[in-house]
Amino acid sequence: MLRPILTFLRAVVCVGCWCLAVGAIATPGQPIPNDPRHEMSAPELAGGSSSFKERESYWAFKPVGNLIPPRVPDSDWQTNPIDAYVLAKLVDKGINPVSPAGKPALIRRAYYDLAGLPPTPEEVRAFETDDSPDAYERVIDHLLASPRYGEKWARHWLDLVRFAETNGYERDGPKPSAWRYRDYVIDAFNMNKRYDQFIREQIAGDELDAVTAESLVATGYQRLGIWDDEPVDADQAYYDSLDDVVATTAQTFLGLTVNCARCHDHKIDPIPQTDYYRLLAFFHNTYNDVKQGEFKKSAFTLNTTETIASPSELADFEKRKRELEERIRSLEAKIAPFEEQIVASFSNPEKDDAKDARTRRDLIAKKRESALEPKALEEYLAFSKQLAEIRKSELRPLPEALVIRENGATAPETFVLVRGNAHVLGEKVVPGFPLVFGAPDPEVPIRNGGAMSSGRRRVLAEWIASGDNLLTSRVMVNRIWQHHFGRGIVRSSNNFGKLGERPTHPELLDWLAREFVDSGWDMKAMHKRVMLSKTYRMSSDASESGLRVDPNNDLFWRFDMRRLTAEEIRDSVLYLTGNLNQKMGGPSIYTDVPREVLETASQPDRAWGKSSPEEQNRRSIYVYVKRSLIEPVLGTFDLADTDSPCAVRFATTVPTQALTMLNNRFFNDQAESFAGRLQREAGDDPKAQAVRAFSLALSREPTASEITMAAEMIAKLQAELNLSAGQALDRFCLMVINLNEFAYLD
Amino acid sequence: MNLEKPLNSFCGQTRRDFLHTAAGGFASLALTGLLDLDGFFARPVLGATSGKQLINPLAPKNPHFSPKAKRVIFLFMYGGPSHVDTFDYKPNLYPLDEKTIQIKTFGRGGHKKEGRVVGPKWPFQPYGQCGKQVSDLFPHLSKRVDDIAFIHSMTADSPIHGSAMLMMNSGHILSGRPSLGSWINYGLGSENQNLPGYVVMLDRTGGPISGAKNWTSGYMPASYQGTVFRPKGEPILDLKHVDGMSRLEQRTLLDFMQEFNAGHLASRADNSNLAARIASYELAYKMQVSAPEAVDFANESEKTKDLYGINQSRTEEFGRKCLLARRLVERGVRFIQVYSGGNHNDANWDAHSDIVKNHTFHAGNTDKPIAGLLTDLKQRGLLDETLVIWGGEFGRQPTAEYAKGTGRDHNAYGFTMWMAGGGIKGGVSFGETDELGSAAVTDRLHVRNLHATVLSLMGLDPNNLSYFYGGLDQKLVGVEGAEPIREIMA
Repeated sequence: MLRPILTFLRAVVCVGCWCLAVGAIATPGQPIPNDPRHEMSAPELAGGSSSFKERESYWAFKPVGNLIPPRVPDSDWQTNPIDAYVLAKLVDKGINPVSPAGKPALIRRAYYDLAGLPPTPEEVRAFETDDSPDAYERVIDHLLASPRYGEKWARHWLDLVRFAETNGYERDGPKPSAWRYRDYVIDAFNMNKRYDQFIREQIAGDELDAVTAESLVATGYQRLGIWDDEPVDADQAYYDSLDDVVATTAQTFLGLTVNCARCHDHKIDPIPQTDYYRLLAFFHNTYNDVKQGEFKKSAFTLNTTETIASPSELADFEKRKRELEERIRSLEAKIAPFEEQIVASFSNPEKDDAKDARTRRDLIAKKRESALEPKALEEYLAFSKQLAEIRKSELRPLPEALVIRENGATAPETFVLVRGNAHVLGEKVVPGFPLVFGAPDPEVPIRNGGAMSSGRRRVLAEWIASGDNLLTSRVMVNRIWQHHFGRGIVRSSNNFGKLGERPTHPELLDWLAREFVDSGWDMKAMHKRVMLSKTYRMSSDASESGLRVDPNNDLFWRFDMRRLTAEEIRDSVLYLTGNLNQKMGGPSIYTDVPREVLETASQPDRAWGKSSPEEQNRRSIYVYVKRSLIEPVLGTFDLADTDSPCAVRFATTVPTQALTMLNNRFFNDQAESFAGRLQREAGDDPKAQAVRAFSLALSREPTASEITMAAEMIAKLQAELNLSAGQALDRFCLMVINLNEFAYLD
Repeated sequence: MNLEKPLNSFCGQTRRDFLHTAAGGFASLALTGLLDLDGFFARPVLGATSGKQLINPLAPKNPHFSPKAKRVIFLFMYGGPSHVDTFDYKPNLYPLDEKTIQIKTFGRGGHKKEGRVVGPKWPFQPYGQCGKQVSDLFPHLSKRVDDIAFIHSMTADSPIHGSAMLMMNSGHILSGRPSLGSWINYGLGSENQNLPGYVVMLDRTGGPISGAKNWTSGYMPASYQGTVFRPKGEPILDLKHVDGMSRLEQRTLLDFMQEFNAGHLASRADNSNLAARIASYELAYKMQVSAPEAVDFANESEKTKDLYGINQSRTEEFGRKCLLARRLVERGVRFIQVYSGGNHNDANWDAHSDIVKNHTFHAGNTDKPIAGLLTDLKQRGLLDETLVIWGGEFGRQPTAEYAKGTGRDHNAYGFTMWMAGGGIKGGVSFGETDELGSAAVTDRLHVRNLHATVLSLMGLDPNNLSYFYGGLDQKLVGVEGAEPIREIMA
């Protein structure tokens, strides 16, 4: 009797659906304004045939045209089309762009944007004194060639694909080898993998013409989501897993919140519910290894890894295995005659007992000295020892990863689920692209019976990775722009639909998108193009006219300051103290986490691991990501939520951040290291120490009055608070890493 | 704002003057948002502002309508207390003890069609003017029944701890949603900027399953997430310097830092984020006094401590947390969640093997402190504006989980929670389970109805409180909305 009721309740729990109420907290107590959404008729809402009309009228669904940058009155701003697009709008509003940033500010900005770390004082000085016209360009080239670039930009991508190394829920169990996916992304950025290939590998790395270990690891992104290994409703959980992949894929690659159409037609965007299930059908065979109804039992297999070894690695492994077995056999053959001799010395009852292998072993050990001549005994023991050692030694295991594998060539039939309810099947659908794109229906090639997969994801991947796709290139260039300017040309970078924000510079976005595709999806070239613009090189200074006309800086009349990310804060502190361990890749590391934090876990003693001090000093991207226990220093500074795609991180300002930076073990230990470095490099003179401290931490030398103030502080701490010179310097260093100027980039 | 006398001054100005002038104009908005609650500015500084200017996310906001309650204390009986052994009197269940009957259940052990009855292990007696039947597990709490509204027809979507905890805390069995306390702080802001607006107190044996996911702000900014408070020692992480920096020394450091910051701000005065960060250090400085003060019971009388059971070893731990909850309520903390039980199995109310041993232990640890909390809130006139919630993530089955023993499996088909205080009718019971307590049958309610009730009492319209994320206006009560339980609202 209850079962139907629960089912009904579940039927109306559709994940993340927009519904009638549109309450806005921004205007509490105010009547809710009439929302145009309420006035739409059902056919208008339903998409379908109206999709094509939408495509005509809504910017994101119009094809990228051939674009000619506008003419602007300043020839310097005409050279780079980015600047022409930006200046044209500024001229239109009567705002002048502010002056270019000073060299120290510019190089610091470039370093953080590409490497996530500050430049060294030496690098700043070299840039300041280099008057050659390509000095700045060479800085960019240097940074793009540095492995730090991949570590910085991979993190942006990991935010989008809700990267974590555990499943969440009661056990929050590990996702084995999830770190390989993280390394894949770092490598992809560092080797400047074409973005279209990056897409293909993640969506269909197992279905490509050339399947490699790398492309298999890439498919792991589909396994990174939250996953309840003890679901209350196995069928619903099965579709929740698929929804996680569909939602993440659509938001990450297409900037569309298709997930809104899981339960009914999208209320605003022209995405009918059938589009959602047509998209789901591409992935439907991936979880087919789990039979419906047996989810709970089989679900554990979702977490199993598969070997990603290449044929040559496999052959090598087999060879080493055979060699090992051969050595074991040969030693056993050498040992056998000795043991036979020992057994021969057994009494009859002992011979009976020796039928049991363990007893036989024990008896041999007991009798060997009496049964063998000293020399024979010596030989026997030597062979035995060798054998024991070989048996203990293990073959270096083959690399394994979380990957996607399908269950054969035939995908299950896909049905629309009425109101998103896994128990109520609606109409049958086949794989298809969202109607609004106006793309012809895909043809999924018939695979032979022996094929390992349906080939469906390959079709989807090729469509998304196509230069003709309306959104793919726009969405990605917008992300690149976002992480250089602090916000995208479309601010809602995961939502290009009507509930997202409109682009501030739609023509520029299209021009960049076209450039991106024409360049062969070359990410590094796009960074360079953006960073060489005058727009990027502006200072963050205010101007009266700018603040008056465009306080939001929608038009880019200056560069927006930004707070360092959690990783940038932690990594920079380690870097400027000289402690940063730049080792790349491999299994994640654990920082020392205070007991109080471990006690928030249900099993405090099993909640977290331990790494050596050297390992703990590695970059933050290598810190273990556990869904139920986020590393506290990183968590304090607005790490991305791990459970769903995060396109734009928050940058909150709360007193607990100040408490962490002032009182926490990590920051105080690093302040001491920083002080030690200052003493080594600048001696005992507080003024020289201050110069070095500012140069390292802020990429500039302090002013005369700042030097005086620093010396005053160090003197006062000693005179009035009885600190030693060393302690006073520790406190000065702690202050420096707490400064606004350290946390905020110009 | 109790600014201690500055050790040095900026060009003859006090720090207050400095903050006022250095951060004046555009930048003052965030500062005023953060500081004006304390009367930091005699008159609010009005400055031009823009859409991008930072607004303190925890600044107090107006509710949708006049609230009945201003603050919430959620006493979370983690693991799932058995309703038939506590507040849901089932006289017909006693004689069935040890008999195998046809009954549909769903718990950790899966779906079952029959089971061996475990009769209620404690006698019930009527209490108060309302005559409410309460089991002998609660000799103290039973005396407060006239202040309490019992809800006997609760249901939830999951009888499995992991997803059920997420449901009770965030309204949904899938991970990633903001918790109830986050929604309330998002909707109303915080009355006290020197303390977190959302405090969580855990059991000494550890957190609940899924740890911090239970007080996460999910897709909302971290400003709205719960802060773990410890009732002894340092209440908040990093509140005290690791190596013990004196307050005077810290003040010196801050004074110099703010002077450097002032120089940096001078040419960036329009950036309110910088001013807000300056202010955040002053707030942190004050929090180091206000948070320990909140956990310092020196001024509490022995009588009060006795009331909460703090002077008895059995009830000391939970009693301290309840007294601290009252003190936080007095200091304007908006949402306080106190866990009874932590870790796994019998370290919480999850009585799979021996209901008598388990519930005797957990009820015994919490009965007097909770009764004391209600009594104390009432005698101080705080109960009227403080909503107290009691319950777990689900209840327990009337039948045994295993062939032997008195353990009960989880039950999300029907269970009991209760509320008292702000906007709640006392001495009422609402909803019913069947005569064996296996499932809610009369006036069935969902966790969403409970959440809707809490939001409504706090002056927020549950069906209009929304946060835009993932292309959707997300709500705590989900897409279908939910009505509050008006029958228990005063």
